[in-house]
Amino acid sequence: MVHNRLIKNYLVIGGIVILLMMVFGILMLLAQGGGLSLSPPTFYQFMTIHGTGMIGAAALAASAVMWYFLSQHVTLSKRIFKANLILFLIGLVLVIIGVFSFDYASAWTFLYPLPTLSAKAWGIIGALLYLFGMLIIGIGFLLLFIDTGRAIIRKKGSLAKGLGWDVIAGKKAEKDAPEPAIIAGTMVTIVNVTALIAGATVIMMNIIHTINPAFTFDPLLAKNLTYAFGHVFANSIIYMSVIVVYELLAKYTNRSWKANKVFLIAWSMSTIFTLMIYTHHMLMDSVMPKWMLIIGQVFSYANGLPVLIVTAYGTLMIVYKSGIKWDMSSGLAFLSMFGWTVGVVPAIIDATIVVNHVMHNTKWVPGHFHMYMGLGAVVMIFAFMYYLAKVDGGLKITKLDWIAFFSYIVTMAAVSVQFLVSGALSTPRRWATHTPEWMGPALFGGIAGVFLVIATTLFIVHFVRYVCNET
Amino acid sequence: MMKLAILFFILLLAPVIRESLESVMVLHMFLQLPLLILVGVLLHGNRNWRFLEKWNDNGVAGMLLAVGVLIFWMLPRSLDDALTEIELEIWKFASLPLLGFLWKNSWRKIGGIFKSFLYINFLSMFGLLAWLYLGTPVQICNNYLINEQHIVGAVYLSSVLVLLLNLLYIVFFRGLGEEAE
Repeated sequence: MVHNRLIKNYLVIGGIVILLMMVFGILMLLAQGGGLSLSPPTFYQFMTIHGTGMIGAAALAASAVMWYFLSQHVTLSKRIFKANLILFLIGLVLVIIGVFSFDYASAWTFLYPLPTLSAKAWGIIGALLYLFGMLIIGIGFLLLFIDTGRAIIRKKGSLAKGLGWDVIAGKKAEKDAPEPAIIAGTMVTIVNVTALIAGATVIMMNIIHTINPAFTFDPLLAKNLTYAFGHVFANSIIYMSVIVVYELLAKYTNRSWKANKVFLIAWSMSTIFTLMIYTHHMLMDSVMPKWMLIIGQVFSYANGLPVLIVTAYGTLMIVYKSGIKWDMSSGLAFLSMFGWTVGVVPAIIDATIVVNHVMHNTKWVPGHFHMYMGLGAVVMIFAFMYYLAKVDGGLKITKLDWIAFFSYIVTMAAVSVQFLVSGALSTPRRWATHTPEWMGPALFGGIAGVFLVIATTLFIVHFVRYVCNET
Repeated sequence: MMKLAILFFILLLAPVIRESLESVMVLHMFLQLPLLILVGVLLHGNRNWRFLEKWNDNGVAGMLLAVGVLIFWMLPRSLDDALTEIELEIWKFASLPLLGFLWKNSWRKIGGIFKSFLYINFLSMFGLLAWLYLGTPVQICNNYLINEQHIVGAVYLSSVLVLLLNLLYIVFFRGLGEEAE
């Protein structure tokens, strides 16, 4: 059994940061709903830390899920894994200081030239602290994915073989296909190294522009690189986390989850599509080349579906008549597949160009990613936490955990749906102030969020109990 | 090897060659600078330099120093100042062979992850420089016109494409080769 203190540290830090970020989310919703007085600059600071922190923490915890299962098949470097955690914490501290001590509030998108040209809402130091913080976090993750990539190549010969292209081509039998953890690890390595290269370029560009605004850059290219980094990196969280579904359900049902050709093709397609579809963030940029916008629409439809369909179908099939005994981890893993499936629907609708022109700047989009991440990716991480606590610590679940489970489903769904309803009401997103007509859903979401935090706290407490028992 | 390095160095110091290489921005950046680095690599050869064993045992210190020097010479300002300030010109002729020397000494010693990190870092930073030189409306160097900047930007962009294709070839087809063993 591969387990160590580092995995626990990753998950505890990731879990606690997610919890804290939820609190900022509630405060923003309550402020938008008129239930709390928050100055606009403070709101945008909260929005910046909420977006950055959520994606960062979820990616950190998801990388622990991937590392845990991948290290059972390939040799990974513990030192690099540790270095990533240290660099993450250093970067996080810089981001927090930039946001709260120097009023930096550009949202996670740090869209050029906003870090520099803030109309004096914040200064150079705040922008530099935030950007260097992001750069350091990116360096940590880059080292981690270089390590996973090298380990997979050492074991399989190449990343192509890690994705099972030799099996797809018929050079190898299906029974010799790579394990799902290796396939997912290969996919994530490819997309995230690409994303981090784009991210490093655009962050350094922003740093140069902040230090010397005379150096100006093409804003459209900057936006492309920003989303090629941010969208792909955020998207990869679910592909790292889903490994727990493959491994956990296979163990619980005593059935193997072997990769076949359809499974391999699906993962290869999602690898390519994930790199292409960030362009659905550019559908409102009329100066973008038309063919890129068409790619954005067509491949956004196609992106999640291959892996989602084979995984959702596989989940149903592996569970069907298996006599599985449901507990928190298997329940959460199953729930996460539901969350992933329903969470992509609003995204697919929004990726349609004519719809996008109306919906993209509304709260419809946060509705999508809260559902997708909150009921999908993050639930997979919680499933892994319960799984570890059970198989490694033998920790029993209580009625309180089940109460948390059902509360989490209801409240996370409520938070997501209120965003979608707000979107349908044409409520703009990223606005600190709402007109009275827009306030109802936000207030409802804020109140639901309070119960969501309680449910999540119970999940984290369970895991912390396991960690404390072990030490 | 050492004699060849010295000969090379003297040739690069020769006023005719030096001035002609420095008169064109792209030659200055992509020919003179790499050749000076090559002098250091040749100077090092395949010898075991004992004085380096103590402090550059795992190659990290040497490589960090080499990368530091490289970063300095990647700044357009450094290149510009080398043309007008003799101290910087001397520093260029001293530091770049040193960079090559340290690079050669450290490359085999450092771990694979460090090597991959450097490679990928070159990819993103060359991309940034291509963008900077091609896109910025500012004349970056006093000694070179904007159209020369654009040529340098194009060479940087071409380098990115070559590095990218090579990376794809390694990870999808060739593998890690000897390293894997």
